[in-house]
Amino acid sequence: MAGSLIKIDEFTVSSPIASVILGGGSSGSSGLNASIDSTYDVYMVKINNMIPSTDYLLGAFRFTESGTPNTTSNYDRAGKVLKGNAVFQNAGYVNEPQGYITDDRNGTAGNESTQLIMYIFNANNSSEYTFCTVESTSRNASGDLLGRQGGNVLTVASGVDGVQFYYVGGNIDTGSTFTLYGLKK
Amino acid sequence: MAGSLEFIKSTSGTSVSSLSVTDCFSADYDVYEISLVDGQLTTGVANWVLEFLDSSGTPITTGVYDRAFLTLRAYNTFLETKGTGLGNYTFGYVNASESNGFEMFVYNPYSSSDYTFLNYQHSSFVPSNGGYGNKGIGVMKSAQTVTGIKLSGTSGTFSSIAVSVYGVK
Repeated sequence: MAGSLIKIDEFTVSSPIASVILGGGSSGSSGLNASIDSTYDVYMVKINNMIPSTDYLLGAFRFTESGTPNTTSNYDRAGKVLKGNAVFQNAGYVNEPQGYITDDRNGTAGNESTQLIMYIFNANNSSEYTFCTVESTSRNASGDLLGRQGGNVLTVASGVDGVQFYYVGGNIDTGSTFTLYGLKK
Repeated sequence: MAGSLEFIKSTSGTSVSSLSVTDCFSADYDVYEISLVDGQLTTGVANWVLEFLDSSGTPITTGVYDRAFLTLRAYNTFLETKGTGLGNYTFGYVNASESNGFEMFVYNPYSSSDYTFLNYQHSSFVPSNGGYGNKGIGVMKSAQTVTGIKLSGTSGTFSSIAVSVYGVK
């Protein structure tokens, strides 16, 4: 039987780069011309070994519309920040200019990376907001375990066709891998 | 079209104190999804204990596990659990009256140059109280090849236990 988790797009960073776009049509990083569209209702993103090329950078994302990141301050997030060595935090914010994947900064000392599973809902429905869940596990720039369990919403009723990942103020380093899947209807 | 969630193996046991899923990680995948599909003790209660298996199938029990998980309880306040430099990854809850389950993603276990990360969601039931679950993360801070997992309880014997492992291509 054919499977139901279908790989649509994938990009592995081969040299430091400002951002990676999964989907987004011709704006996508892979050159596969892939898009989030009406083929699937739910999409999944997998990030493995996302590392910054300079120390102490915060991982973030934005959804793309016709391949262009939506940079408006319409991202809300709510989640629990889990920490291996400190009190957990409630992270609830509205009207931010981007979504965040870990709520802390990765580093360059080795294995200070982020791993993530994200499910995206209603993306291509231009009459609905776009929602996503975020489950990340990472180490910060001090080598401490932390991760986030929560979700985000882009409070704009628009047709989203991709998602852009980046570090605020720096580059993504070599070896970081980003994959987009569709969940078959 | 072929799917990207690929079944690797299932392992189960009855009347056992632990269950090892050997040689389930390989160079074929970077990320894995592990499903606990059954887990029940013969008597009493315990927490789950996860240990990764090294390249010779031996549990890694040096103080290399960091953990953080939120315990969600339908009948009481939520709890935070954290720790660093632990000898294993202890979490969740298992008992003799009800089975329970979790879904866990494991990242880079087979890489000899990367730490092995994990995150998971666990759902269980505490008799006479109510629903119980965890949302958790962890890292095994040793850059070595991991080939499998060993699951046991902090005490007791499993009347039944079953685990399936998938590769996320």
